[in-house]
Amino acid sequence: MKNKSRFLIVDDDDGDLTLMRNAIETAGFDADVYVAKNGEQGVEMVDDLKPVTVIVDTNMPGINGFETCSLMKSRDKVNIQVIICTGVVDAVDAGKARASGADGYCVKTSNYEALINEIKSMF
Amino acid sequence: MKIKQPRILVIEDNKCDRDLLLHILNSLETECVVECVNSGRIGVEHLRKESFDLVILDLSMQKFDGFQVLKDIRDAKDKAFPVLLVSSFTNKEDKVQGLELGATDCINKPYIIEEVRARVQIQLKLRQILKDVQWASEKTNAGIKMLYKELDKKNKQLQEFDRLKDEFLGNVSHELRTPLTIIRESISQIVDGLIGDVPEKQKQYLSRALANIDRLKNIIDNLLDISKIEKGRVELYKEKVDLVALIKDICADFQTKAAAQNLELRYELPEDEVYVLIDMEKTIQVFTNLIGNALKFTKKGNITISLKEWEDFVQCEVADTGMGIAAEHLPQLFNKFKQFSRTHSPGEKGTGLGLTIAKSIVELHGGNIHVESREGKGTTFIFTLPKYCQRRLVHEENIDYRR
Repeated sequence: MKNKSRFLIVDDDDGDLTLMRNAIETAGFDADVYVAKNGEQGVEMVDDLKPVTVIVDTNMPGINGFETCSLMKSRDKVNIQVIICTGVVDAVDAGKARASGADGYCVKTSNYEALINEIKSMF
Repeated sequence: MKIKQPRILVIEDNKCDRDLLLHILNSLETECVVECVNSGRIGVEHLRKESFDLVILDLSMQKFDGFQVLKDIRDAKDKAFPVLLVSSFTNKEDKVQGLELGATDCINKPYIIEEVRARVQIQLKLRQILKDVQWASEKTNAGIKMLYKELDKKNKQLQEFDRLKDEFLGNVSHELRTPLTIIRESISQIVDGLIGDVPEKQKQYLSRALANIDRLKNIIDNLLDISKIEKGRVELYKEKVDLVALIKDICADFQTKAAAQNLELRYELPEDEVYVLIDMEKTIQVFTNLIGNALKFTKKGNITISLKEWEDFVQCEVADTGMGIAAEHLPQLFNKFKQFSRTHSPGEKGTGLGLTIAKSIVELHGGNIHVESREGKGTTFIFTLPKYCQRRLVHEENIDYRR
């Protein structure tokens, strides 16, 4: 049996986590959604879970979203797509996202439409 | 996903040069995908179909005019890719011509391996930077667009809530009015002795109840008025009115109240009649609201109502010598439910709708209203009303005043 693909969401805000998870599940992706509450935990989980897509918040206590993304990308043999999802859109942040190796950068809106579009554009 | 490896297209018909280039490109710091073609035509076709991050073009091929190939590849879909020209450049002008035709850089043959490597590396780096900037700007624009969309949606929701609130207010006021009228009528009959004799003491209490019912009715009427105005359901019944006489009448009604507060209520009016085309009841409401406010907020001095005539309109002023309004509050003065600390005694509070209603009525008449005020010196409300004239009467039949 083919394993379901896995999504990992890294965000320190419980509300955002739940909403993002709902949005992804409602959008009908055939995937299991996992969550991590901070960057360090997220990086560890990437090693174990081998998710396809990781969604990372920018502002988190401990290592921020860009550092988290860099760390995930620097681990060899892990072929993940990282989307940085932020509350504030900003060209400098978009540049940082790119520099950290992110594959996507999008804004958090109330229904996470931008995030869903971004994920869809990757498949 | 790792950032995609850069793709390089080599257009070169000399096998030795091609092999040497391949060797150099394979030893670059950045891992690349290299494609080689030995004809200008095939190269151009490739570029129309796929995108490359760098093109290395031999200017001196045997069967192809290098310059023509350069022109052709500049017509490709994605024109941003850099083009490196390679040639022995025996003719010095070729370099200039090549650069003018859109080449990015030139490399002399025979190759100096280190130079080729460095120049290619620079072009790949610049290309990567350009792509990153484009990526960031696209993502930022998409994000901003999304936020605008969201804002727009929220805005529409708010407008809908606002509409619902107004509707609710209108309905509730309407529902409150009917029972209140019955209560008022019943008490009024008792006070008037229609039901039987009432002792003086009870009469006093009931009269106080009546006065407060009237206050409540006034508030509800204001709410209903504002609700009608907001729904655009107000119609003006315009007629020819002598404004001088009207102002005198209105002032007469307020004289007792002014005297009770030791205030002088006076007017400065032209001697002759001034005819305006107005809805009389609604205009009285404007004056009543403004004079009522002036009385409320003036402790000593006077209230002056004056009238000036202009060609097409008249300008009315209601000026008081009261406490005035702070400058920062002036812009919101006509907003619904706004009340400012002008009120000293809590008992003086109204609904905060008087000025909103006054403004709406003036504007429905095609006029405008504004306020001038200095704290501690007094406040003057100035508004305009249309003059009566035959021409206007004909013209106005085509105007819909319900906004």
